[in-house]
Amino acid sequence: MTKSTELLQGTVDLLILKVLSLEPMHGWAIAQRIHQLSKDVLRVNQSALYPALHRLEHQAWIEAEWGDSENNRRAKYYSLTKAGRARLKAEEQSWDRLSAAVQVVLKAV
Amino acid sequence: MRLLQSLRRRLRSFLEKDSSNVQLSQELQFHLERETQENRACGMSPEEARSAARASFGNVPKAVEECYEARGVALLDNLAQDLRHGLRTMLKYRSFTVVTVFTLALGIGACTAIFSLVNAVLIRALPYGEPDRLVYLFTPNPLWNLPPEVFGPSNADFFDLKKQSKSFLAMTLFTQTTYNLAANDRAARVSAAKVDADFFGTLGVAPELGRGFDANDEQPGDEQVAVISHALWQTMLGGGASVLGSTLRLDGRPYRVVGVMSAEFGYPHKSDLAYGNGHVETTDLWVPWALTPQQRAEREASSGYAVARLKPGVTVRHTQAEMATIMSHLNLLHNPDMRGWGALVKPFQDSALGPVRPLMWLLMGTVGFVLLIACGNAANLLLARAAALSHELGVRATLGARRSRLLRQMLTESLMLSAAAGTVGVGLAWLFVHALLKLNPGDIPRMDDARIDLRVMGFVVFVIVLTSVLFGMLPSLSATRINLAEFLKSSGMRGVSGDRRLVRHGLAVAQIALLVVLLTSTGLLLRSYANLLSVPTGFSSTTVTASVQMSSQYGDAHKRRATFGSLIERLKSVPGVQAVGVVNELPLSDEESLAVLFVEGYPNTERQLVEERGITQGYLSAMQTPLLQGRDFSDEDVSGHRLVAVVNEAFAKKYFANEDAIGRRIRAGHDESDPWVTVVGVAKDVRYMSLEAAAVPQVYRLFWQVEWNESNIVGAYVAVRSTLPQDAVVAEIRSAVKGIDPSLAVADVHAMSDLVSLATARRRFQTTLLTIFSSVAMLLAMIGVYGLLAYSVRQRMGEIGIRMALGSSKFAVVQLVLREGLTLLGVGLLIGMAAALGSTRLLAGFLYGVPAFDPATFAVIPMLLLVSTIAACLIPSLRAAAVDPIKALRHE
Repeated sequence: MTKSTELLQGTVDLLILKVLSLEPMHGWAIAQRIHQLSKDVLRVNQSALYPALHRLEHQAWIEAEWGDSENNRRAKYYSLTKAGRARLKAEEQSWDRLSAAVQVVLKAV
Repeated sequence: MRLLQSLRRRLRSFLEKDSSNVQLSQELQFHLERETQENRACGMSPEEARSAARASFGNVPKAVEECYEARGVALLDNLAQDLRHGLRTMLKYRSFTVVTVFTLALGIGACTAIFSLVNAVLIRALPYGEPDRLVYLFTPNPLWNLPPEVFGPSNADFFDLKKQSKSFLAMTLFTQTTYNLAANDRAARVSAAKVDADFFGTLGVAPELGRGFDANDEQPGDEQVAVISHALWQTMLGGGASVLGSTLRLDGRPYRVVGVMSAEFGYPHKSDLAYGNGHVETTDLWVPWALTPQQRAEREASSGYAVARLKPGVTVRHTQAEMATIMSHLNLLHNPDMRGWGALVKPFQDSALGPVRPLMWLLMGTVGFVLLIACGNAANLLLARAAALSHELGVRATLGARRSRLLRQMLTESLMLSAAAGTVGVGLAWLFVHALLKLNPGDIPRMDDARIDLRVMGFVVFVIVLTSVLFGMLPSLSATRINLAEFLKSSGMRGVSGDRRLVRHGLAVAQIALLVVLLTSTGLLLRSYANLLSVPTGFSSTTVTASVQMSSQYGDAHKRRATFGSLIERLKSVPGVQAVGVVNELPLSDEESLAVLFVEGYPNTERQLVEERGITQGYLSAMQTPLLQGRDFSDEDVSGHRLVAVVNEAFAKKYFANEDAIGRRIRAGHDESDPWVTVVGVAKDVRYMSLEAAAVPQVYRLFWQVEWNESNIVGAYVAVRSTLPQDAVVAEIRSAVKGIDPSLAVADVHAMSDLVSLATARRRFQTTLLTIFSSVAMLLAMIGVYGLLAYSVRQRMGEIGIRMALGSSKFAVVQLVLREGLTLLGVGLLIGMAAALGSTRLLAGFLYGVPAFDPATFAVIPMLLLVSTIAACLIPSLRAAAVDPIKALRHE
């Protein structure tokens, strides 16, 4: 098993929103996609994934629909709402600001 | 909007909880299967693949719980659970619920009723624009030993102040008067104010119909226009729009109606002006005060009141300083003998509401005590109930319920109880308010407006939350403090309730202490009221009196005075009438006239003021005021134009030092030109201004000899003593007045007992309310003591059984219970007495003829409480004595 980095709650939300901006997908696929896209660095704690999804749904940033999965089982597919898209944009910007700031500090000292 | 959507989603997931539970488990199931599938693809065995998938997922139930909470269902769910549980317990312990709700409802109802009164009187803004910027201006002169509010500025001072002051946005000068208004074949007395053009503007009000006054209306000759009150418009003038432009006959002169004020405006009221016209309750008519140039320049005499509106940001203190400076200059323009005119700026609201504020606080404090005692009861009931629930709570705690969860449940329950009590309480408050208005003493401004409005409802909600915390917090904290080890050791049969005894007893002691303070205050007020009722008034209570007033439109002063002569003759001839008299100012009618008086052979001071009344020769007889020395006025005094006077006891005591008063002489000044008046009799003291103030020196002169200014209103009361019923006398007076002049109004018709009743009304009001509330508090506290002891007997059943089995007598068991009750009383009394000694001083302003530390009251209250506590102990102690030791031991 590769060594994975634990994620902060806020970042999980950001990553979920980002991944869902590509296409609607179910919970397992979201976890997989984050893992792949991060070149196996990031692993979403799965017991934290579903509460996060439900929270985002409750906040109306994503919405859910039951559909057939790739293995022909019924799965719950999540997709980004309009509000979610706006939220993603805002979150990305604030993330950029944060990471840039952290970079500056790290370089400076 | 966000909040609403969120709530809707919460509610939806809450209602579709079962289906969403299924969906959640399906979703997680899918995840695990997909993970297993993936693991198998990596070459694991089916067993391995499944357990690896589970392992990588982590804690499934925790995830489920968190999803659940993420959707915000848990909170609502818990609340619903608590509400359901609360309802079930409330229904299960029905008698507990009824007693608690009723107890609290009494407290909340009393609080709400009094708050709606306070709201109407103190909190709701006065019906003037920005009333907090309105002030009265007075020019007190210490040379006269009189209250500063007696001195309105003279006309010239007012206009100079207006010119020189920079603090005021607007200023108005007005005076009060009354008119005979003839309309629709009947005559009525209306209370009026003569006002300048700035009157309505200064007060920040405008007529609801028509217009106010402008500078043109103030010109002498153009002043015959009037603005009328909403009430006058509706009751006497038909209430139609055609009233504008119509003509009123006031004292026989025509006035054109130009405006109608709104229903809430009746300034000035009796409560606004401490030394205003005693005939005026509420003003119904406003006419321009057209001052001639000579009147505007009048600097010495004053008959007006000045109200001003401060500029924004200007303080009363600053204005006071400015006005003092201006007055110190204006003082030099006054008569050198009279100089000393100062300045007083008094906030408008203080004048209107200041006198009733202490009463309102007293009432609020009283009902606050009642509510606290009710809360104490509810808390004790809840504690007793919590003991019964301790088993259930212990089991739940053992099974892992968090304390906060249990606490929330218990508080939800107390909130439900107080909400129920609040609902009943609002109903009770509605009844209370109606009863309160029946007790209206008539001198509390705007009391009639007391009703349960939005602000009062807000107050109710506040009280509900407050009470539920007050009576719910202690039992909840105590009940949820569960020692699991102890609970399990006691094999789950009994909770640990040892420390609760102290809490329960502490609550009962606090209740008794509060009750002692309340009862002591009530006792003092009751004694004051009794003292007041036993004051000798100095007149007969059955004499019927009525007021008639005439202005110069009814002829010269002599002619107007003669009208009273013919009125007396007419009434004397009525069969059954025993005596008829006339007086210019009746006792207890809020009027007085002071005269400068010089007494022969007495070290007189400058400006020595004495109350003076003008009476006719039949008046003292009509009022049954006894003569202690000498004789009454006689017809010969009138026909012979003899200058004679009758003085009262207080006068004789002060000026003649109890020596023979008959034949002594007095006169209206030092001037040799002032004629001497000879004292012919001494009459018993009469309470004039109020029943509470001691009688002051008074002189009675003959009504016919009192000086009347030509332009003044000649007004007087006719007093009739007869064997006829009151209604018949009133009818005779009315017909006699109508026979003389149909346009003359008869007003202020009273038996003297009515005036006594009015004079004692305020005290009756406060005493009645305090007595009622204290009785309620006493009932509640005794129910509390009873409940506590009954519960304690139930708890100690086993102990009592053992005592009896070991040979204790029934009497000793009764003693046991009594001792518990009396110990509570003793401690409560000690604390309460100490608190009462400390607090009754605050009541000093409400007392009459009773010291704040009245020994009688302080002795009677403990006796009363002792008797009632023994009564409250009776049933529990008898029940304890009736315990069958065998059964009691088995129960253990």
